[in-house]
Amino acid sequence: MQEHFNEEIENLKTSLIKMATLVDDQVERVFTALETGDITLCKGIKAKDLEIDIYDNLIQTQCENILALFQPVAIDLRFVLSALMTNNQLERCGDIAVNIAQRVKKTTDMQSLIKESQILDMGQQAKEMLKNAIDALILNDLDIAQKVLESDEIVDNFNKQIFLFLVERMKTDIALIEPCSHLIVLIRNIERLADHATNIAENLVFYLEAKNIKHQIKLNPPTE
Amino acid sequence: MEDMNKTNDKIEIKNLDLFYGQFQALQSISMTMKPKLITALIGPSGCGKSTLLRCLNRMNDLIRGVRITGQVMLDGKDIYSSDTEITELRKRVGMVFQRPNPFPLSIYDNVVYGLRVAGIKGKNQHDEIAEKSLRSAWLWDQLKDKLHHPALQLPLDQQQRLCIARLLAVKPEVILMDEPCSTLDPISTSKIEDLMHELKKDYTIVIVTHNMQQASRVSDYTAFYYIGNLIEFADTKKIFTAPDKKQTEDYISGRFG
Repeated sequence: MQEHFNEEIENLKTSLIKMATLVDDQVERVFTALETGDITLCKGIKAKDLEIDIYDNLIQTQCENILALFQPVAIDLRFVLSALMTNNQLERCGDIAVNIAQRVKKTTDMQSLIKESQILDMGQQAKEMLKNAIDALILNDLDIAQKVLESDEIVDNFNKQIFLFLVERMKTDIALIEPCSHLIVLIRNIERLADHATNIAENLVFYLEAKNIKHQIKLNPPTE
Repeated sequence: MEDMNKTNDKIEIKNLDLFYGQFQALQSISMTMKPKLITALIGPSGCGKSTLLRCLNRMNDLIRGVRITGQVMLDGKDIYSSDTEITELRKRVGMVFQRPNPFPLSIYDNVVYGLRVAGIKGKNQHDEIAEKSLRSAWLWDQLKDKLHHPALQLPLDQQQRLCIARLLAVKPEVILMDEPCSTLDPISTSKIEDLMHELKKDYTIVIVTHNMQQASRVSDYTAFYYIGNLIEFADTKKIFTAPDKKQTEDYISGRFG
Protein backbone atom coordinates (compact mmCIF):
# COMPACT_ATOMS: atom_id res chain seq x y z
CA MET A 1 0.00 0.00 0.00
CA GLN A 2 2.84 2.37 0.94
CA GLU A 3 4.50 1.76 -2.44
CA HIS A 4 1.26 2.51 -4.25
CA PHE A 5 0.93 5.71 -2.24
CA ASN A 6 4.54 6.74 -2.97
CA GLU A 7 3.91 6.12 -6.66
CA GLU A 8 0.88 8.42 -6.63
CA ILE A 9 2.84 11.13 -4.80
CA GLU A 10 5.68 10.82 -7.35
CA ASN A 11 3.18 11.10 -10.22
CA LEU A 12 1.76 14.23 -8.65
CA LYS A 13 5.25 15.75 -8.26
CA THR A 14 6.03 14.96 -11.90
CA SER A 15 2.83 16.64 -13.09
CA LEU A 16 3.57 19.74 -11.02
CA ILE A 17 7.10 20.00 -12.39
CA LYS A 18 5.90 19.55 -15.99
CA MET A 19 3.23 22.21 -15.51
CA ALA A 20 5.71 24.58 -13.86
CA THR A 21 8.15 24.13 -16.75
CA LEU A 22 5.43 24.95 -19.28
CA VAL A 23 4.47 28.08 -17.33
CA ASP A 24 8.11 29.14 -17.10
CA ASP A 25 8.51 28.80 -20.90
CA GLN A 26 5.37 30.83 -21.54
CA VAL A 27 6.46 33.63 -19.23
CA GLU A 28 9.96 33.66 -20.72
CA ARG A 29 8.50 34.00 -24.23
CA VAL A 30 6.11 36.84 -23.48
CA PHE A 31 8.76 38.86 -21.67
CA THR A 32 11.20 38.41 -24.55
CA ALA A 33 8.41 39.59 -26.85
CA LEU A 34 7.83 42.59 -24.60
CA GLU A 35 11.51 43.44 -24.55
CA THR A 36 12.13 43.03 -28.27
CA GLY A 37 8.72 44.01 -29.58
CA ASP A 38 8.77 40.76 -31.59
CA ILE A 39 5.11 39.78 -31.57
CA THR A 40 5.75 36.57 -33.49
CA LEU A 41 6.92 35.17 -30.15
CA CYS A 42 3.37 35.60 -28.85
CA LYS A 43 2.04 33.18 -31.44
CA GLY A 44 0.97 29.90 -29.93
CA ILE A 45 0.85 31.29 -26.38
CA LYS A 46 -2.89 30.69 -26.15
CA ALA A 47 -2.63 27.14 -27.53
CA LYS A 48 0.13 26.33 -25.06
CA ASP A 49 -2.04 27.70 -22.24
CA LEU A 50 -4.51 24.95 -23.03
CA GLU A 51 -1.81 22.41 -22.14
CA ILE A 52 -1.36 24.20 -18.81
CA ASP A 53 -5.11 24.01 -18.22
CA ILE A 54 -5.03 20.27 -18.92
CA TYR A 55 -2.35 19.90 -16.23
CA ASP A 56 -4.49 22.02 -13.91
CA ASN A 57 -7.34 19.52 -14.21
CA LEU A 58 -5.02 16.53 -14.03
CA ILE A 59 -3.31 17.75 -10.83
CA GLN A 60 -6.62 18.53 -9.20
CA THR A 61 -7.82 15.00 -9.97
CA GLN A 62 -4.55 13.49 -8.70
CA CYS A 63 -4.86 15.41 -5.42
CA GLU A 64 -8.51 14.46 -5.06
CA ASN A 65 -7.70 10.79 -5.60
CA ILE A 66 -4.83 10.80 -3.11
CA LEU A 67 -6.98 12.50 -0.46
CA ALA A 68 -9.91 10.16 -1.04
CA LEU A 69 -8.00 6.90 -1.36
CA PHE A 70 -5.05 7.30 1.01
CA GLN A 71 -6.13 9.90 3.59
CA PRO A 72 -2.59 11.28 3.94
CA VAL A 73 -1.53 12.98 7.17
CA ALA A 74 1.29 15.26 8.36
CA ILE A 75 3.94 15.95 5.70
CA ASP A 76 2.07 13.95 3.05
CA LEU A 77 -1.13 15.89 3.71
CA ARG A 78 0.77 19.17 3.56
CA PHE A 79 2.37 18.15 0.27
CA VAL A 80 -1.00 17.40 -1.34
CA LEU A 81 -2.54 20.62 0.00
CA SER A 82 0.43 22.66 -1.16
CA ALA A 83 0.30 20.95 -4.58
CA LEU A 84 -3.36 21.93 -4.88
CA MET A 85 -2.58 25.54 -4.02
CA THR A 86 0.51 25.70 -6.23
CA ASN A 87 -1.46 24.20 -9.10
CA ASN A 88 -3.89 27.06 -8.79
CA GLN A 89 -1.07 29.64 -8.75
CA LEU A 90 0.62 28.11 -11.79
CA GLU A 91 -2.62 28.04 -13.75
CA ARG A 92 -3.11 31.76 -12.99
CA CYS A 93 0.49 32.46 -14.11
CA GLY A 94 -0.35 30.75 -17.40
CA ASP A 95 -3.39 33.01 -17.82
CA ILE A 96 -1.27 36.06 -17.01
CA ALA A 97 1.21 35.07 -19.73
CA VAL A 98 -1.72 35.07 -22.19
CA ASN A 99 -2.84 38.48 -20.93
CA ILE A 100 0.66 39.91 -21.25
CA ALA A 101 0.94 38.50 -24.79
CA GLN A 102 -2.28 40.36 -25.70
CA ARG A 103 -0.88 43.60 -24.29
CA VAL A 104 2.43 43.10 -26.11
CA LYS A 105 0.53 42.99 -29.42
CA LYS A 106 -1.07 46.33 -28.56
CA THR A 107 2.10 48.03 -27.39
CA THR A 108 4.61 47.28 -30.16
CA ASP A 109 4.83 50.96 -31.08
CA MET A 110 5.47 52.01 -27.47
CA GLN A 111 9.02 50.74 -27.06
CA SER A 112 10.44 54.06 -25.93
CA LEU A 113 7.70 54.52 -23.32
CA ILE A 114 8.21 50.94 -22.14
CA LYS A 115 11.95 51.45 -21.75
CA GLU A 116 11.55 54.84 -20.11
CA SER A 117 9.02 53.57 -17.56
CA GLN A 118 11.17 50.72 -16.13
CA ILE A 119 8.52 48.14 -17.11
CA LEU A 120 11.27 45.90 -18.44
CA ASP A 121 13.09 46.01 -15.11
CA MET A 122 9.87 45.18 -13.30
CA GLY A 123 9.20 42.33 -15.72
CA GLN A 124 12.72 41.00 -15.27
CA GLN A 125 12.27 41.00 -11.50
CA ALA A 126 8.89 39.24 -11.66
CA LYS A 127 10.19 36.68 -14.16
CA GLU A 128 13.17 35.99 -11.92
CA MET A 129 10.85 35.53 -8.95
CA LEU A 130 8.74 32.98 -10.81
CA LYS A 131 11.83 31.15 -12.04
CA ASN A 132 13.18 31.01 -8.47
CA ALA A 133 9.83 29.88 -7.10
CA ILE A 134 9.77 27.04 -9.63
CA ASP A 135 13.39 26.11 -8.82
CA ALA A 136 12.56 26.12 -5.10
CA LEU A 137 9.57 23.89 -5.82
CA ILE A 138 11.60 21.41 -7.87
CA LEU A 139 14.55 21.33 -5.45
CA ASN A 140 12.53 21.69 -2.21
CA ASP A 141 14.90 24.57 -1.42
CA LEU A 142 13.78 26.95 1.32
CA ASP A 143 16.70 29.35 0.75
CA ILE A 144 15.54 30.02 -2.80
CA ALA A 145 11.95 30.34 -1.51
CA GLN A 146 13.15 32.96 0.98
CA LYS A 147 14.72 34.94 -1.89
CA VAL A 148 11.36 34.96 -3.67
CA LEU A 149 9.54 36.16 -0.56
CA GLU A 150 11.98 39.02 -0.11
CA SER A 151 11.68 40.13 -3.76
CA ASP A 152 7.94 40.72 -3.71
CA GLU A 153 8.38 44.15 -2.18
CA ILE A 154 10.70 45.21 -5.01
CA VAL A 155 8.03 44.43 -7.60
CA ASP A 156 5.37 46.19 -5.53
CA ASN A 157 7.56 49.30 -5.44
CA PHE A 158 8.12 49.13 -9.20
CA ASN A 159 4.36 48.88 -9.62
CA LYS A 160 3.71 52.02 -7.60
CA GLN A 161 6.46 54.06 -9.26
CA ILE A 162 5.56 53.05 -12.81
CA PHE A 163 1.88 53.67 -12.18
CA LEU A 164 2.64 57.23 -11.00
CA PHE A 165 4.98 57.75 -13.95
CA LEU A 166 2.31 56.67 -16.45
CA VAL A 167 -0.37 58.80 -14.80
CA GLU A 168 1.93 61.81 -15.04
CA ARG A 169 2.54 61.12 -18.71
CA MET A 170 -1.20 60.87 -19.37
CA LYS A 171 -1.72 64.20 -17.64
CA THR A 172 0.86 65.92 -19.82
CA ASP A 173 -0.08 64.38 -23.15
CA ILE A 174 -3.64 63.39 -23.97
CA ALA A 175 -2.41 61.26 -26.88
CA LEU A 176 -0.71 58.97 -24.37
CA ILE A 177 -3.89 58.07 -22.49
CA GLU A 178 -4.60 54.95 -24.52
CA PRO A 179 -1.03 53.56 -24.66
CA CYS A 180 -0.47 54.33 -20.99
CA SER A 181 -3.72 52.56 -20.11
CA HIS A 182 -2.45 49.45 -21.87
CA LEU A 183 0.77 49.71 -19.92
CA ILE A 184 -1.07 50.11 -16.61
CA VAL A 185 -2.92 46.88 -17.34
CA LEU A 186 0.41 45.33 -18.26
CA ILE A 187 2.10 46.28 -14.98
CA ARG A 188 -0.94 45.05 -13.07
CA ASN A 189 -0.40 41.65 -14.72
CA ILE A 190 3.30 41.67 -13.93
CA GLU A 191 2.55 42.53 -10.31
CA ARG A 192 0.08 39.62 -10.11
CA LEU A 193 2.70 37.30 -11.57
CA ALA A 194 5.08 38.23 -8.74
CA ASP A 195 2.28 37.67 -6.21
CA HIS A 196 1.71 34.15 -7.55
CA ALA A 197 5.45 33.43 -7.37
CA THR A 198 5.35 34.57 -3.73
CA ASN A 199 2.37 32.31 -3.05
CA ILE A 200 4.22 29.33 -4.56
CA ALA A 201 7.15 30.03 -2.21
CA GLU A 202 4.74 30.31 0.74
CA ASN A 203 3.18 26.97 -0.22
CA LEU A 204 6.63 25.38 -0.17
CA VAL A 205 7.29 26.73 3.33
CA PHE A 206 3.93 25.33 4.44
CA TYR A 207 4.81 21.93 2.99
CA LEU A 208 8.36 21.67 4.30
CA GLU A 209 8.15 23.61 7.57
CA ALA A 210 4.48 23.14 8.56
CA LYS A 211 4.20 26.92 8.91
CA ASN A 212 1.57 29.14 7.43
CA ILE A 213 3.41 32.35 6.51
CA LYS A 214 0.80 33.84 4.22
CA HIS A 215 0.47 37.59 4.52
CA GLN A 216 3.94 37.83 6.09
CA ILE A 217 7.29 38.38 4.44
CA LYS A 218 9.96 36.79 6.61
CA LEU A 219 10.23 33.03 7.14
CA ASN A 220 10.87 33.64 10.82
CA PRO A 221 9.20 36.89 11.79
CA PRO A 222 10.84 38.61 14.76
CA THR A 223 8.96 38.10 18.00
CA GLU A 224 7.98 41.23 19.84
CA MET B 1 -7.78 23.45 20.56
CA GLU B 2 -8.39 22.63 24.18
CA ASP B 3 -6.26 24.36 26.79
CA MET B 4 -3.34 22.03 27.43
CA ASN B 5 -2.17 24.08 30.39
CA LYS B 6 -5.17 23.26 32.55
CA THR B 7 -3.77 22.08 35.85
CA ASN B 8 -6.70 19.95 36.93
CA ASP B 9 -5.51 16.76 35.26
CA LYS B 10 -7.86 13.85 35.78
CA ILE B 11 -4.99 11.41 35.50
CA GLU B 12 -1.30 12.11 35.85
CA ILE B 13 1.20 9.37 35.12
CA LYS B 14 4.63 9.94 36.66
CA ASN B 15 7.76 7.98 35.70
CA LEU B 16 5.85 4.76 35.22
CA ASP B 17 7.92 1.62 34.54
CA LEU B 18 6.33 -1.77 33.99
CA PHE B 19 8.14 -5.10 33.83
CA TYR B 20 6.82 -8.49 32.74
CA GLY B 21 9.42 -10.53 34.63
CA GLN B 22 12.74 -9.31 33.19
CA PHE B 23 11.15 -7.62 30.20
CA GLN B 24 10.51 -3.91 30.55
CA ALA B 25 7.29 -3.12 28.67
CA LEU B 26 6.93 0.54 29.71
CA GLN B 27 9.84 2.90 30.23
CA SER B 28 9.53 5.93 32.45
CA ILE B 29 6.19 7.11 31.13
CA SER B 30 4.99 10.54 32.18
CA MET B 31 1.86 12.11 30.75
CA THR B 32 -1.46 13.60 31.78
CA MET B 33 -5.08 13.10 30.82
CA LYS B 34 -7.43 16.05 30.96
CA PRO B 35 -10.92 15.74 32.41
CA LYS B 36 -13.83 15.33 29.99
CA LEU B 37 -11.59 14.98 26.98
CA ILE B 38 -10.59 12.00 24.88
CA THR B 39 -6.96 10.90 24.85
CA ALA B 40 -5.92 8.38 22.21
CA LEU B 41 -2.97 6.02 22.67
CA ILE B 42 -1.50 4.91 19.35
CA GLY B 43 1.51 2.90 18.24
CA PRO B 44 2.47 -0.37 16.57
CA SER B 45 1.59 -3.72 18.14
CA GLY B 46 3.66 -4.43 21.22
CA CYS B 47 4.47 -0.77 21.89
CA GLY B 48 2.84 -0.89 25.33
CA LYS B 49 -0.28 1.17 24.75
CA SER B 50 -2.74 -1.49 26.00
CA THR B 51 -0.39 -2.26 28.89
CA LEU B 52 -0.46 1.41 29.85
CA LEU B 53 -4.25 1.52 29.54
CA ARG B 54 -4.54 -1.43 31.92
CA CYS B 55 -2.28 0.38 34.40
CA LEU B 56 -4.95 3.05 34.75
CA ASN B 57 -7.33 0.79 36.67
CA ARG B 58 -4.76 -1.72 37.85
CA MET B 59 -5.89 -4.49 35.54
CA ASN B 60 -2.25 -5.56 35.25
CA ASP B 61 -2.37 -6.59 38.91
CA LEU B 62 -4.11 -9.73 37.67
CA ILE B 63 -1.10 -10.76 35.56
CA ARG B 64 1.59 -12.84 37.26
CA GLY B 65 5.12 -11.47 37.30
CA VAL B 66 4.17 -7.88 36.60
CA ARG B 67 6.12 -5.24 38.49
CA ILE B 68 5.24 -1.57 38.36
CA THR B 69 7.12 1.45 39.65
CA GLY B 70 6.16 5.10 39.42
CA GLN B 71 2.80 6.69 40.06
CA VAL B 72 -0.62 6.99 38.48
CA MET B 73 -2.48 9.85 40.09
CA LEU B 74 -6.26 9.90 39.81
CA ASP B 75 -7.52 13.31 40.93
CA GLY B 76 -4.18 13.79 42.66
CA LYS B 77 -4.13 10.47 44.55
CA ASP B 78 -1.82 7.61 43.59
CA ILE B 79 -3.90 4.56 42.63
CA TYR B 80 -0.90 2.35 43.40
CA SER B 81 -0.78 3.45 47.05
CA SER B 82 -1.41 0.68 49.55
CA ASP B 83 -4.74 2.09 50.74
CA THR B 84 -6.39 1.98 47.31
CA GLU B 85 -9.59 -0.05 47.19
CA ILE B 86 -9.32 -1.92 43.88
CA THR B 87 -13.07 -2.51 43.51
CA GLU B 88 -13.78 1.14 44.17
CA LEU B 89 -11.00 2.14 41.72
CA ARG B 90 -12.48 -0.04 38.95
CA LYS B 91 -15.88 1.50 39.63
CA ARG B 92 -14.36 4.94 39.09
CA VAL B 93 -12.24 3.83 36.13
CA GLY B 94 -14.25 1.43 33.97
CA MET B 95 -13.11 -0.45 30.92
CA VAL B 96 -14.59 -1.38 27.54
CA PHE B 97 -12.83 -4.23 25.78
CA GLN B 98 -12.04 -5.11 22.19
CA ARG B 99 -14.85 -7.63 21.88
CA PRO B 100 -18.16 -6.82 23.50
CA ASN B 101 -18.52 -9.04 26.55
CA PRO B 102 -22.12 -8.92 27.79
CA PHE B 103 -23.01 -11.52 30.42
CA PRO B 104 -25.30 -14.36 29.37
CA LEU B 105 -28.17 -12.56 31.04
CA SER B 106 -31.00 -10.31 29.93
CA ILE B 107 -30.31 -6.79 28.71
CA TYR B 108 -31.74 -5.37 31.93
CA ASP B 109 -29.75 -7.70 34.17
CA ASN B 110 -26.56 -6.77 32.34
CA VAL B 111 -27.10 -3.07 32.97
CA VAL B 112 -27.92 -3.43 36.68
CA TYR B 113 -25.29 -6.12 37.30
CA GLY B 114 -22.76 -3.65 38.72
CA LEU B 115 -25.40 -2.13 40.99
CA ARG B 116 -26.24 -5.52 42.46
CA VAL B 117 -22.55 -6.32 42.99
CA ALA B 118 -22.13 -2.95 44.71
CA GLY B 119 -25.05 -3.80 46.98
CA ILE B 120 -27.33 -1.09 45.63
CA LYS B 121 -30.87 -2.32 46.07
CA GLY B 122 -34.36 -1.24 45.10
CA LYS B 123 -36.19 -2.08 41.90
CA ASN B 124 -37.28 1.49 41.30
CA GLN B 125 -33.74 2.72 41.60
CA HIS B 126 -32.48 -0.07 39.33
CA ASP B 127 -35.16 0.77 36.75
CA GLU B 128 -34.27 4.41 36.85
CA ILE B 129 -30.52 3.83 36.48
CA ALA B 130 -31.04 1.20 33.75
CA GLU B 131 -33.11 3.63 31.69
CA LYS B 132 -30.65 6.46 32.21
CA SER B 133 -27.65 4.30 31.31
CA LEU B 134 -29.33 2.86 28.23
CA ARG B 135 -30.34 6.35 27.14
CA SER B 136 -26.76 7.57 27.59
CA ALA B 137 -25.56 4.68 25.44
CA TRP B 138 -28.22 5.51 22.82
CA LEU B 139 -29.93 2.16 23.30
CA TRP B 140 -33.11 3.02 25.16
CA ASP B 141 -35.34 3.71 22.16
CA GLN B 142 -34.28 0.49 20.45
CA LEU B 143 -34.34 -1.78 23.51
CA LYS B 144 -36.95 -0.41 25.92
CA ASP B 145 -39.50 -3.02 24.81
CA LYS B 146 -37.14 -5.96 25.02
CA LEU B 147 -35.26 -5.34 28.23
CA HIS B 148 -35.69 -8.94 29.30
CA HIS B 149 -34.42 -10.44 26.04
CA PRO B 150 -31.01 -12.14 26.12
CA ALA B 151 -28.19 -9.64 25.66
CA LEU B 152 -26.18 -12.10 23.58
CA GLN B 153 -28.80 -11.95 20.83
CA LEU B 154 -28.11 -8.29 20.14
CA PRO B 155 -26.02 -7.23 17.13
CA LEU B 156 -22.36 -6.58 17.93
CA ASP B 157 -22.51 -2.79 18.03
CA GLN B 158 -25.50 -2.90 20.38
CA GLN B 159 -23.66 -5.44 22.55
CA GLN B 160 -20.72 -3.04 22.73
CA ARG B 161 -23.00 -0.12 23.61
CA LEU B 162 -24.71 -2.34 26.20
CA CYS B 163 -21.30 -2.92 27.79
CA ILE B 164 -20.85 0.85 27.87
CA ALA B 165 -24.33 1.22 29.45
CA ARG B 166 -23.36 -1.41 32.04
CA LEU B 167 -20.30 0.68 32.81
CA LEU B 168 -22.25 3.93 33.03
CA ALA B 169 -24.69 2.41 35.52
CA VAL B 170 -22.03 2.41 38.23
CA LYS B 171 -21.19 6.06 37.51
CA PRO B 172 -17.53 5.89 36.52
CA GLU B 173 -15.41 9.01 36.10
CA VAL B 174 -13.02 7.60 33.53
CA ILE B 175 -13.78 5.19 30.68
CA LEU B 176 -10.90 3.16 29.26
CA MET B 177 -11.50 1.75 25.79
CA ASP B 178 -9.21 -0.92 24.40
CA GLU B 179 -9.79 -0.95 20.64
CA PRO B 180 -13.57 -0.81 21.17
CA CYS B 181 -14.41 -0.86 17.47
CA SER B 182 -11.96 -3.42 16.15
CA THR B 183 -14.65 -6.07 15.67
CA LEU B 184 -17.29 -3.69 14.34
CA ASP B 185 -18.27 -2.71 10.80
CA PRO B 186 -17.90 0.95 9.68
CA ILE B 187 -21.50 1.91 10.49
CA SER B 188 -21.34 0.37 13.97
CA THR B 189 -17.93 2.00 14.46
CA SER B 190 -19.42 5.35 13.56
CA LYS B 191 -22.17 4.86 16.16
CA ILE B 192 -19.62 4.11 18.88
CA GLU B 193 -17.54 7.12 17.86
CA ASP B 194 -20.60 9.37 17.99
CA LEU B 195 -21.39 7.94 21.41
CA MET B 196 -17.83 8.68 22.59
CA HIS B 197 -18.22 12.25 21.43
CA GLU B 198 -21.40 12.53 23.49
CA LEU B 199 -19.95 10.75 26.54
CA LYS B 200 -16.96 13.06 26.80
CA LYS B 201 -19.31 15.78 28.04
CA ASP B 202 -19.45 13.85 31.32
CA TYR B 203 -16.53 11.42 31.31
CA THR B 204 -12.79 11.35 30.76
CA ILE B 205 -12.05 8.83 28.02
CA VAL B 206 -8.81 7.08 27.15
CA ILE B 207 -8.85 4.97 23.99
CA VAL B 208 -6.31 2.58 22.50
CA THR B 209 -6.73 2.26 18.78
CA HIS B 210 -4.84 0.92 15.78
CA ASN B 211 -7.01 2.95 13.50
CA MET B 212 -5.25 6.25 12.76
CA GLN B 213 -8.36 7.81 11.27
CA GLN B 214 -10.30 6.89 14.38
CA ALA B 215 -7.69 8.48 16.64
CA SER B 216 -7.74 11.65 14.56
CA ARG B 217 -11.55 11.73 14.41
CA VAL B 218 -12.41 11.14 18.04
CA SER B 219 -9.59 12.31 20.28
CA ASP B 220 -8.51 15.68 21.65
CA TYR B 221 -5.01 14.53 22.53
CA THR B 222 -2.89 11.75 21.08
CA ALA B 223 0.07 9.92 22.56
CA PHE B 224 2.34 7.93 20.25
CA TYR B 225 4.15 4.97 21.82
CA TYR B 226 6.99 2.93 20.39
CA ILE B 227 8.72 -0.01 22.08
CA GLY B 228 7.54 0.95 25.54
CA ASN B 229 8.44 4.62 25.19
CA LEU B 230 6.21 7.64 24.90
CA ILE B 231 7.58 9.29 21.77
CA GLU B 232 5.21 12.23 21.42
CA PHE B 233 2.13 13.51 23.20
CA ALA B 234 0.26 16.54 21.89
CA ASP B 235 -2.97 18.00 20.67
CA THR B 236 -4.39 15.55 18.10
CA LYS B 237 -4.52 18.23 15.40
CA LYS B 238 -0.81 18.84 15.83
CA ILE B 239 0.07 15.14 15.82
CA PHE B 240 -1.79 14.57 12.56
CA THR B 241 -0.72 17.73 10.73
CA ALA B 242 2.74 18.67 11.98
CA PRO B 243 4.19 16.27 14.54
CA ASP B 244 7.51 17.26 16.10
CA LYS B 245 9.13 13.82 15.91
CA LYS B 246 10.10 12.06 12.71
CA GLN B 247 9.16 8.69 14.25
CA THR B 248 5.63 9.94 14.86
CA GLU B 249 5.35 11.24 11.32
CA ASP B 250 6.64 7.97 9.87
CA TYR B 251 4.17 5.97 11.93
CA ILE B 252 1.04 7.99 11.30
CA SER B 253 1.82 8.27 7.59
CA GLY B 254 2.20 4.49 7.35
CA ARG B 255 5.97 4.38 6.71
CA PHE B 256 6.47 1.89 9.48
CA GLY B 257 4.49 -0.13 11.99
